[in-house]
Amino acid sequence: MRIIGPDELIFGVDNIEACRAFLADYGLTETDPDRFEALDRTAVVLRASDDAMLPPPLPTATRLRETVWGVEDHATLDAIAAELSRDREVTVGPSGRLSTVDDAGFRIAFQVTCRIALNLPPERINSPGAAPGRAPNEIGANEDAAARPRTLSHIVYFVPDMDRMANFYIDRLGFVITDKFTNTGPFLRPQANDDHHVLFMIQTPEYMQGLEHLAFHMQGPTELMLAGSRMVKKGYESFWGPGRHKFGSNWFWYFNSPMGTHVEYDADMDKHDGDWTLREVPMSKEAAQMFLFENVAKWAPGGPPPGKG
Amino acid sequence: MTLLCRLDDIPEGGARGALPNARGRDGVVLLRRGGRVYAYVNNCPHYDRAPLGWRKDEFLNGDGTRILCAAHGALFRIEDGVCEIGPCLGQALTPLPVRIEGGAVFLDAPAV
Ligand code: FES
Repeated sequence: MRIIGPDELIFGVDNIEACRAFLADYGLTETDPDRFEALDRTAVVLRASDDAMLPPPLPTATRLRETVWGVEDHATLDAIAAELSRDREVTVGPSGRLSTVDDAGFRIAFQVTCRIALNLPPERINSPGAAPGRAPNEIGANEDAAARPRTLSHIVYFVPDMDRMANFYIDRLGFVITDKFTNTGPFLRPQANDDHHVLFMIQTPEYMQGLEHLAFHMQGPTELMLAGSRMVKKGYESFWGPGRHKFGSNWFWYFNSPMGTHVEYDADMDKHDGDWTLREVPMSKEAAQMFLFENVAKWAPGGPPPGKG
Repeated sequence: MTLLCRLDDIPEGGARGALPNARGRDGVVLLRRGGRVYAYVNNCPHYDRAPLGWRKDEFLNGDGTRILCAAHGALFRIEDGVCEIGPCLGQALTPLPVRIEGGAVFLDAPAV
């Protein structure tokens, strides 16, 4: 099934002003009221928690109401409708969007993707022994870079039964496991996306079910650091990072958010195809990252020690 | 006793972070309700290194009736720090004794 990845995450919140400010400062653009888009039009959508149009909330703390998956074409939508209507109700919205529920009880929807193709420069670096990434006199440290999230990368759910949940996405929707943390959960990739993961899950008790985090891809590590530093400067609470994960290789920097979920910047994730053999290790601090840094106040070297000049 | 802030720095019905560490992260969350000041360690019981707020001095849910953990959405009662919904259900924030004297709020315990 030609599923690409998450197109849209819809939240029901009781603090919409704070959420708007957060998403704008994070770098997304409000294109329609309360729709905050990345450069390829993937988005986070805010609604008041009592909005009657929203799917019902889970009985837990999560504010996530719906995950909308983008698929390549109408044939894929038809195939998903046929497959999932075998054992659950699938409704079709006015724009052809399919809505249903997954095996953990998360509300999910499918649409022909809203993503537009991006044609943007990568982060370009100069590396000895390799052709220069930048022309002579072209500066790498651009403090004024826009640092806009490019595309919705992945989501991570807390789920009460990771095997049941994973099997739903694998057996019914054609996702494949790229890597796995034993007793925690698998990293999953759908068929029309070569990113290491668009979906990961963490096994938890039932009362914790919800969204652990969402992540958008940035141009590269430099842009990730720039965007994250700007958030810190504005007083936002860094949760974890910057650092670099092992599985997926992506650089990461997680922030707390008023939506009650972590929001991550990521950059430079591995790509995979059918030749890949999955790796499995137990979850540990060692396995969760290759290295981890923390933002500190700016500093500059000087001459002699104070008072000795 | 450690000085945390002036009482007027905490809006009635609002919240404020205090006692920043070297990295600028506030170690204490203060809440003011009807003449009382409640103080908790700024760490969610869910994880060992989880500050509660999402932005400097932003610790409350939309209507200001609960403390919100901006990591996974847990909600805590202001009066006793008990988690009512979320990953740390039934656990509680660590309370800290405070004393109000001469319009200032003091931590009535060794610094956290
Ligand atoms: S860290 Fe507070 S709810 Fe998870």
